[in-house]
Amino acid sequence: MAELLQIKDLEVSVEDKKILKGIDLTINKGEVHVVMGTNGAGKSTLANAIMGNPLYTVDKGSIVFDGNDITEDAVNDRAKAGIFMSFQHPISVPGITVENFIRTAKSTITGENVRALAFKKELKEKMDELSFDTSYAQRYVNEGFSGGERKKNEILQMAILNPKLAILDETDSGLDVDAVRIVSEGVNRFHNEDNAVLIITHHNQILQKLKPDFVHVLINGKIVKTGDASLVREIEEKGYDAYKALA
Amino acid sequence: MEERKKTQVADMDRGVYDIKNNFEYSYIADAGLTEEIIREIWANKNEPEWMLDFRLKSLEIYNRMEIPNWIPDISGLDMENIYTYVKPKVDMKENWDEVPEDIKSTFDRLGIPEAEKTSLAGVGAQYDSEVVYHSIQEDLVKQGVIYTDIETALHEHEEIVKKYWMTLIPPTDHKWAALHGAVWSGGSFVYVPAGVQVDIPLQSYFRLNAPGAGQFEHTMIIVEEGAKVHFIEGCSAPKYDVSNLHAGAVELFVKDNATLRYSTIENWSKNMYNLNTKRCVVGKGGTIEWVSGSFGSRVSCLYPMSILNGEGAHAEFTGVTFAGEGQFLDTGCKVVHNAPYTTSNVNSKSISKSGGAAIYRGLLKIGPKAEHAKATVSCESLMLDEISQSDTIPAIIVENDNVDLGHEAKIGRISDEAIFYLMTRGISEEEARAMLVRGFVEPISKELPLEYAVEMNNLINLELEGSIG
Amino acid sequence: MSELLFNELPRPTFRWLRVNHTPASLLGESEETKSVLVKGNDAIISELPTGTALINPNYKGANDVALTQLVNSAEGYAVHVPANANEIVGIRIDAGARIASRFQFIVEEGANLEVQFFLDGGLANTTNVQYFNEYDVKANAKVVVKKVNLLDDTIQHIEHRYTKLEDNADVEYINVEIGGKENFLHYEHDLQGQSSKIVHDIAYLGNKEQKFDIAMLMSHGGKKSFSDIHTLGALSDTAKKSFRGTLDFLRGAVASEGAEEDTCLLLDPTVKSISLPLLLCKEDNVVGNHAASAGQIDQNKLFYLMSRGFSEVEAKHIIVESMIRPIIDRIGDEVIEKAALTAVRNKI
Repeated sequence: MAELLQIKDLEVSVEDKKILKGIDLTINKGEVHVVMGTNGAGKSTLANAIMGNPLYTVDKGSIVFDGNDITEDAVNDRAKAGIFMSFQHPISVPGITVENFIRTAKSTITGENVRALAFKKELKEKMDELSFDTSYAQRYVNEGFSGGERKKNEILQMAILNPKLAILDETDSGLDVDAVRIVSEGVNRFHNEDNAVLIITHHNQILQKLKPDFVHVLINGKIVKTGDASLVREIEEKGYDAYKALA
Repeated sequence: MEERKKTQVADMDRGVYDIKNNFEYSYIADAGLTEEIIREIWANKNEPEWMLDFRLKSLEIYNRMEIPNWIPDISGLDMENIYTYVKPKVDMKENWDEVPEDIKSTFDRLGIPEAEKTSLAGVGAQYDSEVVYHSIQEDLVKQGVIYTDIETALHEHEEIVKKYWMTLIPPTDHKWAALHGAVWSGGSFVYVPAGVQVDIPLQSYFRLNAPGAGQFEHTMIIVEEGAKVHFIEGCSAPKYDVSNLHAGAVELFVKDNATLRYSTIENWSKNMYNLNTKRCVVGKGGTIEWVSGSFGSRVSCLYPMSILNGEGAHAEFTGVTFAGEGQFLDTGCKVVHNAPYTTSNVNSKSISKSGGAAIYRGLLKIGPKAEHAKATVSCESLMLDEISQSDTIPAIIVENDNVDLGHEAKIGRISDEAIFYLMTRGISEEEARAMLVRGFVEPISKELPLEYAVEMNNLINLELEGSIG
Repeated sequence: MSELLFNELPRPTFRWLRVNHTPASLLGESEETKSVLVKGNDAIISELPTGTALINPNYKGANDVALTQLVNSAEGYAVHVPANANEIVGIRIDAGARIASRFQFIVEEGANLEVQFFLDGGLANTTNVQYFNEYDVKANAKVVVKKVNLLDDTIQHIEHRYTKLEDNADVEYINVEIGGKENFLHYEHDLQGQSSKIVHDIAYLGNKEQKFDIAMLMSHGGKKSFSDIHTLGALSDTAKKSFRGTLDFLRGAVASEGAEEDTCLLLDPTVKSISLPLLLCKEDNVVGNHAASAGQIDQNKLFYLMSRGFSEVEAKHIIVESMIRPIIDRIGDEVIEKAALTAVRNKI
């Protein structure tokens, strides 16, 4: 199986506070990984470090993606290389329409001028699949969107930009049952042999639809246990307290 | 994140705006300002007697009035050397083909006749001090709509012009209003009879070609009861080494239940002192909508004023100001609520970069009679670097208790968070910044007619291009 | 005395509005009296001789002439809080006569100072109460000043206050302004120090012909400096309020934040509210916000209270009181709080 992401001994701090304290993680093409853990364990930090958020400082270790060391790469270069992050709290971008935004992103990532008509068609298809009101294509990115609509907009971008690795940072949080189902189905449609998904969550709602190959428990900046899908149930029964001793 | 990259913005290539024609004219008044010059202008323009009195009285007011103490530095403006009246070598034409080739090519480059063919009901073009071209669709003429240059109106519709002439902006208002009263020439006149809806915009384009000249056009629009019209004004000038002055006056009369939209894209060259006055009085149930883009000039003082005198009158102001190197753009708007149930919305955005200064100066006054008035003001300022300046100077005066008023202002730079979000989607930092700047002014550009929105976006792209290139 | 121009706007605007300053004459010649009482640790309080230099010689006060005259004629009190000390000083002004005084506070590094400033009293005839407060707040020092003005409505009340903040200085000012016929309050806060912080809240309540003319300049010079201005109040009868608030971000005030909010409740058709919230900015890496609102009592609130059995007048009283109460509650002195609350209730 082809290796897609390899993280070695990663230490990350935010404003001089150490959050990740030595993470090793390998993700192959075709796999679905889940990182679970308590609030403040460092889950979002891991996502942001892979994506390259400048507010997160890598103190030690390396991130190799698709055979290239990207530890020092700028965030847009990582996006071009095929990493996508669905934000926990997607911000609004006044003045830029959803359509214009995604089309510009797609043109930049593919390096090709995306033709307007074909793009409109694709956008409409993908929005329909997500039960996303197509009039939102002409609205400003996330401006006045509900929490659920913002998350749908993230999954819409993922579907169109078609990355090699999709990181879903708490995509299920704050969503009602129907929205979780729609988003999960969207991720399932996207997932195939050639890409991988990294799900970050602290509850298991989203995992009822997305079957993970690997489950990692992150406590206090370290992965303390890795297992298969059955680990989700184990956590549900025992709670995170049972793993704190391992940290 | 304290150490961060700045958007490096090269000074704008103004392209077609800067192409100047040979300076030819059929008549030019001497530089400076004397009674003789005023008499000469008057005689040359063959105006009625009362206009000479008006001009001379204005000159007298001009001579004794002081320059306001709060305006930006205008010491670069040498009134002694400003040519107040430059008559181009042509009489006004109603057929585009008859306009002389050099003047025509100027407007061609600016895209004016093309716009007329596609999206306008009437067009006027002023070159230096005189209108050189005017046209209006035949069916509008049949409905009684008048759209012509103000000189023609002064002869053919003298009673109307005289009735309204500088009643909204009296020469005593301020020094530049007095100057305007003394030396005005050119401009447009629009009269829309009661109930007539003009669905396609009328447009006037003002081009100042002569070096060291002043442009003092007078625009008068009267929208009678229940009528509706959209008027577009565009301004530009090539850059010369000597300073130019623009002191126009725009007087708008919106009667009961009438609607006027007044759109402007101002792109004077950066040696222009733009001391312009615009004012509108609105009757019962009437609406004035201002859409204003200020990009050019060295110094601008421009605060379109809406006076809501009729019950339920409404004013809307949407403006964007972009100040680059060497520019001091002091702009904003004034709204005066004088009647019950009047409403107003003000939405202003400014951008400053490369040492430019963008000032929002505003007034919101709710008088004692304006019970149940509602007003909102929103000002946002974006600074693209730390050598520029951005000030907000609003005045809010409330003189009765039954009002609902909100005012908000924000100053800042493009958020790092927004840049990061765009970059996670593969967009480069420079392009992300440019997109966010365009997004910042989008609520305004979408209010503009298409060709003006395109022009504004081009201006912004030109301004930002150095960073993307 | 001839007319003076008070509380001049740092950047003037349209002249015809007549809001760039407020003209007024000083009422009566000022003289110092014994009606000023200063309580606290005697070791830190001393006399401030006439003509003592200003902490900032460029400070002009509400009016230059008035301030210069005050400095050259009035004696006052100097309070010097040593490094790391904790002190409380109480000042009471009983306006039984014309008053002119100065209070100069130097708060050394790491010290804590709380000042309780209380004004009341008055005469049948109009008279003048004028004083000048200066605070030099050194690095890591903390100052809290709680001022309550319950002067009679015969008094012309003028306060000049200047504050200098060094690195990490932390200042909290609370004003409860209820009394006075004509109040000119001028505040200039100089955030020179890195990470210096100031919060200034002013509650006012005006009726009859009262005037509250408030000017405040927040000058951000230090990096990461923070300021927050909040004025809120209510006006009835022919009362008038002018608020001239300026947030001035100087070049180099990187990562600073400033906010100002002016909220005015209008209770009668004859009141007048003027608001000039200026934002001046020469540094891009700052966050500056201002908001102003003016209006009637929220009809939903009124409806809610009336549905609980209160009459309209009672409900209005509750709403006005509930607006000002949170500021009064922060005074921390039971007797003064009670006096302030009584004054509020008597007015509405």
